[in-house]
Amino acid sequence: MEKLTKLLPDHVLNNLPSAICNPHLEFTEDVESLPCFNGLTGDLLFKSSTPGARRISRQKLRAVVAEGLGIEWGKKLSQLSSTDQTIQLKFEDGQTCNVDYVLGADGASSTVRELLLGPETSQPALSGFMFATGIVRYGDTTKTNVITKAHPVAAIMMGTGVVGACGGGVSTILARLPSVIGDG
Amino acid sequence: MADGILVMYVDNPTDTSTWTTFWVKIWKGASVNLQGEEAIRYIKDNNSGLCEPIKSAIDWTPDGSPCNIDEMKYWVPVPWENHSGRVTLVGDAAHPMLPCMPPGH
Repeated sequence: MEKLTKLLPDHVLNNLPSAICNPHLEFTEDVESLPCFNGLTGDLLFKSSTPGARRISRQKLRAVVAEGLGIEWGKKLSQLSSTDQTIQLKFEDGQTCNVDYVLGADGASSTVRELLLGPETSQPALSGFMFATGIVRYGDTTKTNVITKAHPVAAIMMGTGVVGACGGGVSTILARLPSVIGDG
Repeated sequence: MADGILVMYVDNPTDTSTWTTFWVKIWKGASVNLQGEEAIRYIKDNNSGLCEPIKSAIDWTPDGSPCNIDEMKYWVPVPWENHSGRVTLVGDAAHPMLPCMPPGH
Protein backbone atom coordinates (compact mmCIF):
# COMPACT_ATOMS: atom_id res chain seq x y z
CA MET A 1 0.00 0.00 0.00
CA GLU A 2 2.95 2.30 0.66
CA LYS A 3 4.13 1.90 -2.93
CA LEU A 4 0.61 2.26 -4.30
CA THR A 5 0.17 5.47 -2.35
CA LYS A 6 3.20 6.90 -4.12
CA LEU A 7 2.18 5.66 -7.55
CA LEU A 8 -1.54 6.31 -7.74
CA PRO A 9 -3.14 9.66 -8.56
CA ASP A 10 -4.94 11.27 -5.64
CA HIS A 11 -8.45 10.78 -7.04
CA VAL A 12 -7.83 7.04 -7.48
CA LEU A 13 -6.30 6.73 -4.03
CA ASN A 14 -9.20 8.60 -2.45
CA ASN A 15 -11.78 6.45 -4.23
CA LEU A 16 -10.10 3.10 -3.50
CA PRO A 17 -12.30 2.41 -0.45
CA SER A 18 -15.36 2.40 -2.71
CA ALA A 19 -13.98 -0.79 -4.32
CA ILE A 20 -13.99 -2.71 -1.03
CA CYS A 21 -16.42 -5.65 -1.21
CA ASN A 22 -17.97 -4.89 2.18
CA PRO A 23 -16.85 -1.44 3.36
CA HIS A 24 -19.32 -1.50 6.28
CA LEU A 25 -17.35 -4.05 8.30
CA GLU A 26 -15.53 -3.19 11.46
CA PHE A 27 -12.04 -4.36 10.55
CA THR A 28 -10.99 -6.20 13.68
CA GLU A 29 -8.10 -8.64 13.93
CA ASP A 30 -10.47 -11.53 13.23
CA VAL A 31 -11.98 -9.83 10.17
CA GLU A 32 -8.44 -9.13 8.93
CA SER A 33 -7.60 -12.82 8.77
CA LEU A 34 -8.16 -15.60 6.27
CA PRO A 35 -9.41 -18.85 7.81
CA CYS A 36 -8.59 -22.14 6.16
CA PHE A 37 -10.88 -25.10 6.84
CA ASN A 38 -10.46 -28.80 6.16
CA GLY A 39 -12.62 -29.20 3.05
CA LEU A 40 -13.75 -32.69 4.03
CA THR A 41 -14.51 -32.28 7.73
CA GLY A 42 -15.09 -28.54 8.05
CA ASP A 43 -12.57 -28.27 10.91
CA LEU A 44 -10.56 -25.05 11.13
CA LEU A 45 -6.96 -25.79 10.09
CA PHE A 46 -5.43 -22.34 10.63
CA LYS A 47 -6.06 -18.64 10.32
CA SER A 48 -3.71 -16.57 8.23
CA SER A 49 -3.30 -13.06 9.59
CA THR A 50 -3.72 -10.36 6.92
CA PRO A 51 -3.44 -7.04 8.78
CA GLY A 52 -4.68 -4.08 6.76
CA ALA A 53 -5.85 -6.26 3.86
CA ARG A 54 -9.13 -5.41 2.13
CA ARG A 55 -10.99 -7.66 -0.27
CA ILE A 56 -11.95 -5.62 -3.29
CA SER A 57 -14.35 -6.07 -6.18
CA ARG A 58 -12.61 -6.06 -9.55
CA GLN A 59 -15.68 -4.52 -11.15
CA LYS A 60 -15.73 -1.66 -8.65
CA LEU A 61 -11.97 -1.25 -8.80
CA ARG A 62 -12.10 -1.01 -12.56
CA ALA A 63 -14.54 1.86 -12.24
CA VAL A 64 -12.20 3.61 -9.78
CA VAL A 65 -9.04 3.30 -11.87
CA ALA A 66 -10.85 4.05 -15.14
CA GLU A 67 -12.03 7.46 -14.02
CA GLY A 68 -10.69 10.15 -16.34
CA LEU A 69 -9.13 7.66 -18.76
CA GLY A 70 -10.20 7.39 -22.37
CA ILE A 71 -10.85 3.68 -22.67
CA GLU A 72 -12.16 2.01 -25.80
CA TRP A 73 -13.76 -1.31 -24.89
CA GLY A 74 -14.18 -4.35 -27.09
CA LYS A 75 -11.15 -3.70 -29.31
CA LYS A 76 -9.25 -6.72 -30.57
CA LEU A 77 -5.59 -6.21 -31.40
CA SER A 78 -4.44 -7.92 -34.61
CA GLN A 79 -1.01 -6.47 -35.44
CA LEU A 80 1.86 -4.79 -33.64
CA SER A 81 4.87 -3.30 -35.39
CA SER A 82 7.36 -0.53 -34.76
CA THR A 83 9.47 2.12 -36.43
CA ASP A 84 12.18 4.22 -34.83
CA GLN A 85 9.55 6.77 -33.93
CA THR A 86 6.45 4.85 -32.96
CA ILE A 87 4.65 1.61 -32.21
CA GLN A 88 1.90 0.86 -34.69
CA LEU A 89 -1.18 -1.04 -33.57
CA LYS A 90 -3.82 -2.45 -35.85
CA PHE A 91 -7.17 -3.70 -34.62
CA GLU A 92 -9.57 -6.24 -36.09
CA ASP A 93 -12.10 -3.50 -36.87
CA GLY A 94 -9.51 -1.97 -39.21
CA GLN A 95 -8.55 0.93 -36.95
CA THR A 96 -4.86 1.68 -36.62
CA CYS A 97 -3.08 3.92 -34.16
CA ASN A 98 0.45 5.01 -33.35
CA VAL A 99 1.56 5.02 -29.74
CA ASP A 100 4.75 5.56 -27.74
CA TYR A 101 4.38 2.57 -25.42
CA VAL A 102 2.40 -0.67 -25.20
CA LEU A 103 1.72 -2.39 -21.90
CA GLY A 104 0.35 -5.85 -22.63
CA ALA A 105 -1.78 -6.67 -19.60
CA ASP A 106 -4.33 -8.81 -21.38
CA GLY A 107 -4.29 -11.96 -19.31
CA ALA A 108 -3.10 -15.57 -19.43
CA SER A 109 -4.03 -15.95 -23.11
CA SER A 110 -2.46 -12.58 -23.99
CA THR A 111 -2.83 -11.37 -27.57
CA VAL A 112 0.10 -8.99 -27.11
CA ARG A 113 2.26 -11.94 -26.03
CA GLU A 114 1.19 -13.89 -29.12
CA LEU A 115 2.07 -10.98 -31.38
CA LEU A 116 5.50 -10.62 -29.73
CA LEU A 117 6.41 -14.31 -29.68
CA GLY A 118 4.23 -16.13 -32.19
CA PRO A 119 1.39 -18.57 -31.51
CA GLU A 120 3.57 -21.54 -30.50
CA THR A 121 5.99 -19.93 -28.07
CA SER A 122 3.26 -17.83 -26.47
CA GLN A 123 0.87 -20.76 -26.02
CA PRO A 124 0.05 -21.32 -22.33
CA ALA A 125 0.30 -24.88 -20.98
CA LEU A 126 -2.71 -26.71 -19.57
CA SER A 127 -2.39 -27.52 -15.87
CA GLY A 128 -4.93 -30.30 -15.44
CA PHE A 129 -6.64 -28.21 -12.76
CA MET A 130 -10.15 -26.90 -13.29
CA PHE A 131 -11.22 -23.57 -11.86
CA ALA A 132 -14.91 -22.93 -11.31
CA THR A 133 -16.42 -19.67 -10.12
CA GLY A 134 -19.96 -18.58 -9.32
CA ILE A 135 -21.31 -15.13 -8.50
CA VAL A 136 -24.47 -15.68 -6.51
CA ARG A 137 -27.20 -13.60 -4.96
CA TYR A 138 -29.37 -16.01 -2.99
CA GLY A 139 -31.87 -13.31 -2.08
CA ASP A 140 -32.33 -15.18 1.16
CA THR A 141 -31.06 -14.07 4.57
CA THR A 142 -30.75 -17.61 5.95
CA LYS A 143 -28.70 -18.88 3.03
CA THR A 144 -26.43 -15.85 2.85
CA ASN A 145 -25.84 -16.03 6.60
CA VAL A 146 -24.65 -19.63 6.25
CA ILE A 147 -21.97 -18.36 3.86
CA THR A 148 -20.91 -15.34 5.89
CA LYS A 149 -20.81 -17.34 9.12
CA ALA A 150 -17.62 -19.08 7.93
CA HIS A 151 -16.00 -15.64 7.81
CA PRO A 152 -17.37 -12.14 7.08
CA VAL A 153 -14.86 -11.52 4.25
CA ALA A 154 -13.59 -14.81 2.80
CA ALA A 155 -12.83 -18.39 3.77
CA ILE A 156 -10.85 -21.16 2.15
CA MET A 157 -11.47 -24.89 2.29
CA MET A 158 -8.64 -27.22 1.44
CA GLY A 159 -8.85 -30.85 0.52
CA THR A 160 -6.02 -33.30 0.13
CA GLY A 161 -3.31 -33.29 -2.50
CA VAL A 162 -3.18 -29.65 -3.45
CA VAL A 163 -2.50 -26.50 -1.52
CA GLY A 164 -4.45 -23.75 -3.15
CA ALA A 165 -6.11 -20.47 -2.38
CA CYS A 166 -8.31 -17.89 -3.97
CA GLY A 167 -6.53 -14.68 -4.80
CA GLY A 168 -7.43 -11.14 -4.01
CA GLY A 169 -6.06 -8.00 -2.48
CA VAL A 170 -3.44 -6.00 -4.24
CA SER A 171 -2.69 -8.57 -6.93
CA THR A 172 -6.17 -8.04 -8.28
CA ILE A 173 -5.34 -4.45 -9.09
CA LEU A 174 -2.67 -5.38 -11.62
CA ALA A 175 -4.51 -8.40 -12.92
CA ARG A 176 -7.48 -6.38 -14.13
CA LEU A 177 -5.79 -3.48 -15.87
CA PRO A 178 -5.54 -5.62 -19.04
CA SER A 179 -8.89 -4.36 -20.07
CA VAL A 180 -7.27 -1.10 -21.14
CA ILE A 181 -6.05 -2.86 -24.24
CA GLY A 182 -6.84 -6.20 -25.76
CA ASP A 183 -9.96 -8.21 -25.33
CA GLY A 184 -11.79 -6.00 -22.82
CA MET B 1 -8.48 -29.46 -4.12
CA ALA B 2 -9.28 -26.07 -2.73
CA ASP B 3 -12.44 -24.08 -2.46
CA GLY B 4 -13.40 -20.66 -1.21
CA ILE B 5 -16.35 -18.46 -0.45
CA LEU B 6 -16.45 -14.73 -0.02
CA VAL B 7 -18.68 -11.69 0.13
CA MET B 8 -18.65 -9.70 -3.09
CA TYR B 9 -21.24 -6.91 -2.98
CA VAL B 10 -23.27 -5.47 -0.13
CA ASP B 11 -26.29 -3.39 -1.11
CA ASN B 12 -27.87 -2.99 2.31
CA PRO B 13 -25.40 -3.71 5.12
CA THR B 14 -28.18 -4.69 7.55
CA ASP B 15 -30.03 -7.02 5.16
CA THR B 16 -27.90 -9.98 4.03
CA SER B 17 -30.56 -11.04 1.52
CA THR B 18 -29.30 -8.13 -0.62
CA TRP B 19 -25.69 -9.35 -0.55
CA THR B 20 -23.88 -11.01 -3.42
CA THR B 21 -21.38 -13.75 -2.58
CA PHE B 22 -18.87 -15.69 -4.61
CA TRP B 23 -17.66 -19.26 -4.54
CA VAL B 24 -14.63 -20.82 -6.14
CA LYS B 25 -13.78 -24.48 -6.53
CA ILE B 26 -10.52 -25.96 -7.81
CA TRP B 27 -10.00 -29.61 -8.65
CA LYS B 28 -7.83 -31.88 -10.75
CA GLY B 29 -9.63 -33.82 -13.42
CA ALA B 30 -10.94 -34.00 -16.95
CA SER B 31 -10.77 -30.77 -18.94
CA VAL B 32 -14.00 -28.76 -18.67
CA ASN B 33 -14.86 -25.45 -20.29
CA LEU B 34 -18.45 -24.41 -19.56
CA GLN B 35 -20.30 -21.16 -18.89
CA GLY B 36 -23.68 -20.16 -17.52
CA GLU B 37 -26.42 -22.76 -17.09
CA GLU B 38 -24.24 -25.62 -18.33
CA ALA B 39 -21.54 -24.73 -15.83
CA ILE B 40 -24.07 -24.54 -12.99
CA ARG B 41 -25.50 -27.94 -13.90
CA TYR B 42 -22.03 -29.50 -14.12
CA ILE B 43 -20.84 -28.10 -10.81
CA LYS B 44 -24.03 -29.18 -8.99
CA ASP B 45 -23.84 -32.67 -10.51
CA ASN B 46 -20.26 -33.03 -9.24
CA ASN B 47 -20.70 -31.57 -5.79
CA SER B 48 -20.26 -34.58 -3.53
CA GLY B 49 -17.64 -34.88 -0.83
CA LEU B 50 -17.49 -31.21 0.06
CA CYS B 51 -18.17 -29.98 3.58
CA GLU B 52 -20.45 -27.15 4.58
CA PRO B 53 -20.83 -24.33 3.86
CA ILE B 54 -19.16 -24.64 0.44
CA LYS B 55 -21.46 -27.53 -0.51
CA SER B 56 -24.59 -25.48 0.12
CA ALA B 57 -23.03 -22.37 -1.42
CA ILE B 58 -22.83 -24.31 -4.68
CA ASP B 59 -26.08 -26.31 -4.32
CA TRP B 60 -28.11 -23.11 -3.74
CA THR B 61 -26.73 -21.31 -6.81
CA PRO B 62 -29.79 -19.82 -8.52
CA ASP B 63 -30.34 -20.33 -12.26
CA GLY B 64 -28.97 -17.39 -14.18
CA SER B 65 -26.00 -16.81 -11.85
CA PRO B 66 -22.76 -15.95 -13.67
CA CYS B 67 -20.81 -19.21 -13.52
CA ASN B 68 -17.67 -20.26 -15.32
CA ILE B 69 -15.52 -23.41 -15.44
CA ASP B 70 -12.21 -23.54 -17.26
CA GLU B 71 -8.86 -25.27 -17.07
CA MET B 72 -6.13 -23.21 -15.46
CA LYS B 73 -3.19 -22.39 -17.70
CA TYR B 74 0.37 -21.35 -17.03
CA TRP B 75 3.25 -20.09 -19.11
CA VAL B 76 6.93 -19.99 -18.29
CA PRO B 77 8.29 -16.60 -19.37
CA VAL B 78 10.93 -16.35 -22.10
CA PRO B 79 12.54 -13.14 -23.39
CA TRP B 80 10.28 -11.27 -25.79
CA GLU B 81 10.88 -8.64 -28.46
CA ASN B 82 10.36 -5.39 -26.57
CA HIS B 83 10.74 -3.01 -29.51
CA SER B 84 13.56 -1.00 -27.93
CA GLY B 85 11.95 -1.08 -24.52
CA ARG B 86 8.63 0.33 -25.70
CA VAL B 87 6.49 -2.85 -25.49
CA THR B 88 6.21 -5.11 -22.49
CA LEU B 89 3.91 -7.53 -20.68
CA VAL B 90 2.59 -7.44 -17.12
CA GLY B 91 0.45 -9.62 -14.88
CA ASP B 92 -0.95 -12.88 -16.22
CA ALA B 93 0.14 -11.90 -19.73
CA ALA B 94 3.77 -12.02 -18.54
CA HIS B 95 3.61 -14.86 -16.04
CA PRO B 96 0.30 -16.72 -15.79
CA MET B 97 0.62 -19.03 -12.81
CA LEU B 98 -1.48 -21.34 -10.72
CA PRO B 99 -2.71 -20.61 -7.20
CA CYS B 100 -0.86 -23.71 -6.02
CA MET B 101 2.50 -22.38 -7.22
CA PRO B 102 4.31 -20.60 -4.36
CA PRO B 103 4.19 -17.10 -5.94
CA GLY B 104 0.52 -17.56 -6.82
CA HIS B 105 -0.76 -17.35 -3.29
